[in-house]
Amino acid sequence: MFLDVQHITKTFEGDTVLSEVSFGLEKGRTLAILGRSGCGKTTLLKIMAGLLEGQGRVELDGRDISALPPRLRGVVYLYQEPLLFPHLNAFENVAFGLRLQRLPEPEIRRRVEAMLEALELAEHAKKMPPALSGGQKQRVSFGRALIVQPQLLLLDEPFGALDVETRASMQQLFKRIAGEQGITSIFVTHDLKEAVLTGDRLAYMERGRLHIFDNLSDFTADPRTGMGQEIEFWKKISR
Amino acid sequence: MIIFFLLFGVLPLAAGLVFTLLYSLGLAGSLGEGFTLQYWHAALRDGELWQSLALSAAVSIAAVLLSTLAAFAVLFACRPLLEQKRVHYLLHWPLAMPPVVAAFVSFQWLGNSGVLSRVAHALGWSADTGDFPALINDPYYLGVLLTLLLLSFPFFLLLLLNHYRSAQMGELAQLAATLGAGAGQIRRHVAIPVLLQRMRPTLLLYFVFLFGAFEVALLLGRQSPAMISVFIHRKFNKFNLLDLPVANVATVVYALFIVALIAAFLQLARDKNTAGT
Amino acid sequence: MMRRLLLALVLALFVLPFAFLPALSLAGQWRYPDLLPLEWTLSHWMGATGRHWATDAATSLALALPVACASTAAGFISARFLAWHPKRRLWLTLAYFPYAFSPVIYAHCLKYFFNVSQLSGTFAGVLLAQFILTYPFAILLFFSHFDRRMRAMEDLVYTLGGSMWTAFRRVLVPVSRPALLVCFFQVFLISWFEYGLTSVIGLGQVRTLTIAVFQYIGEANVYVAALAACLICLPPLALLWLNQRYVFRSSSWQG
Repeated sequence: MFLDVQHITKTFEGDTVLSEVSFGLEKGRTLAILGRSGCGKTTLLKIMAGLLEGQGRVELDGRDISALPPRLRGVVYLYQEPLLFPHLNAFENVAFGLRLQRLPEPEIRRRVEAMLEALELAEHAKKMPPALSGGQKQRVSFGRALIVQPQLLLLDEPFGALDVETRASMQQLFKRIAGEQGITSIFVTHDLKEAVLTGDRLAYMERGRLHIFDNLSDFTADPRTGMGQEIEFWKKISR
Repeated sequence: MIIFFLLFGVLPLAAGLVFTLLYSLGLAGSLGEGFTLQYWHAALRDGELWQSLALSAAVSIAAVLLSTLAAFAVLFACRPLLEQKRVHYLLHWPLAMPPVVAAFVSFQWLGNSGVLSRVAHALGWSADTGDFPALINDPYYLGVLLTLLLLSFPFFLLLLLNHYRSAQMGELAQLAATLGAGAGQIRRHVAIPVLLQRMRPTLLLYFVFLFGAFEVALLLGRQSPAMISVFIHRKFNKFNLLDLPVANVATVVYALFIVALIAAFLQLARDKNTAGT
Repeated sequence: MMRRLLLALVLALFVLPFAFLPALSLAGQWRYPDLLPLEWTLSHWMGATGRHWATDAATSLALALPVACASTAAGFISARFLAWHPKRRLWLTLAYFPYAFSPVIYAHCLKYFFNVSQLSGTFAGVLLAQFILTYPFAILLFFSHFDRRMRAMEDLVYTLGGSMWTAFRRVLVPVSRPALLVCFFQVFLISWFEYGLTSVIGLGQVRTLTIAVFQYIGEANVYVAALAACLICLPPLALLWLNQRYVFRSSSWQG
């Protein structure tokens, strides 16, 4: 397995937030984790990114990264809000990670321009964050993460704050770019449709425990996911 | 960085207070002759310390109450005017005046031969400096109180204006009006309770500052009783060595007072935060 | 109409002292019961009487600038660590005590240590004492600034490959520029306005403008005292003017 997570456990003030979470993921695939708020999704992602301490082991491409500081892990964590640096324009936000690597200016320019092009943001390069729409901000945030070519991308309800239409187009965009660039990612959401749409593999999380499904029909059959109910609902309506 | 904070942010006051406490118990300083409670007995029996504390409390409570009242009155009477850009700008001017300068201005205005006294003379109300009521170093601390009002009232007025905006008082008032409330009822049942609740922590903190007010009390107050900062300052500066232990006892008492008030303030601030979210 | 009158009265009360002080500093002789001075003179401003005001102003400035720089920088960095520490509540409480303590009483508590280290009566001593006084205040100002959003931004820098130094240099400091400015000006003014602590630790030998005002009052030289008072009010008024013209919204700078 490209990503191998073993026995991640986290307790906070006596409460078990995560309990023995283990799973694996192949390179270039997306694992969508469905779960209600407070189920431990964010904690899991933060531990994998090295932003929170926890017990257990995370291996990436055969390398144990559990003890590494966040900056050496090759894992980027994306928040629900785009969290653009307010003092930098769209171009510089995307270029941020490359500047940290002290790459030569022409290379930075070439790569950032290509990324902005791919994200349909070329004409907004000079805009400061407040001048961008919600969807544009989220795309800049995406570009900023993707451009450093992380080995693993963690997305924590990235489209949660967007309106329905923008959300749908962002899901398509994510699907396309993830496919094109062969990104390995974990996509956390509480939206059933979004999970099914973005995930190559599906999982459900509840009270700190993760359950991975082998295929879509298992996912549908499990009453906790709510998928069966949803299908029933639409069937009834269309009758 | 935590160590730096402990070293420069916590240690100086802590060390100072420990030394002060030891001194007051006869365990440190030039008079240190072994453990004794005699200074504490003497200081606590001395009426002056209690008078100072009571005076400081009375003056600062009066200043906070009166400025709050005045600020509410002006807010309700003139609010639309206060939001005009130019007026709003002028409202900030008194913030540029430190206590030293405010004390000096009061000294020049309220004194026996001050500006007000001259105006009274010109109007034929007084014949000589002696006719003008004493407002400087006066027994009722009116000069001090007026000056502290001059310092706190503008601050409270601005604070109220800010809270008025951030609490969306305009919308709240409209809502209350649609529910059938009249202007007076909106003030009594909506505006005043909401604004007071938001101001409470700041009012308490401001009381703490005024309680320790120094410059104004030094220039405009009396020798005795003096406000607590002045009292302690004078006791420390006297050449009589026996005054030092008293000064130390007073400092410890003052510190205990501050600890209690800050604890109350943090509790209020926490309540406000939990109520706000 | 009544409302306008009331407002006019309030504003007059607010603004009048700022007209009175320059006028008094220009008065030559002003005996009771004259309403206005007999003569006007520039002699106080020319430094004809006593010590030149520029020396006192320079001392005030030489204290306030480094104190403001040091407290803002140290307060900013400290707050970043304290606000995200598991014991944040304790640190916050501890920072409040020196802030709430009357500076003059605080100075008397510190005086023994300053005497022993021979810092009393020296410029360096007053500098250190003012730093000790304003540093917790700066921490308090920045404490709520380091919220979840700032934390998330810093974490983002780490996952993008940055170190703590890069996080400070490239993100935390640039996005906090307005807060840093506000803190700098506030601490500058605390130092510029300070009297009690400066007089106790400086023993009157470090003569700032505020110390000068009291000394001139003691010498019954009210005209020069008014001059010094004018100078004390000058930087805050200039800041107000700048504030209204350029920098931030009116209410933000009182904190």
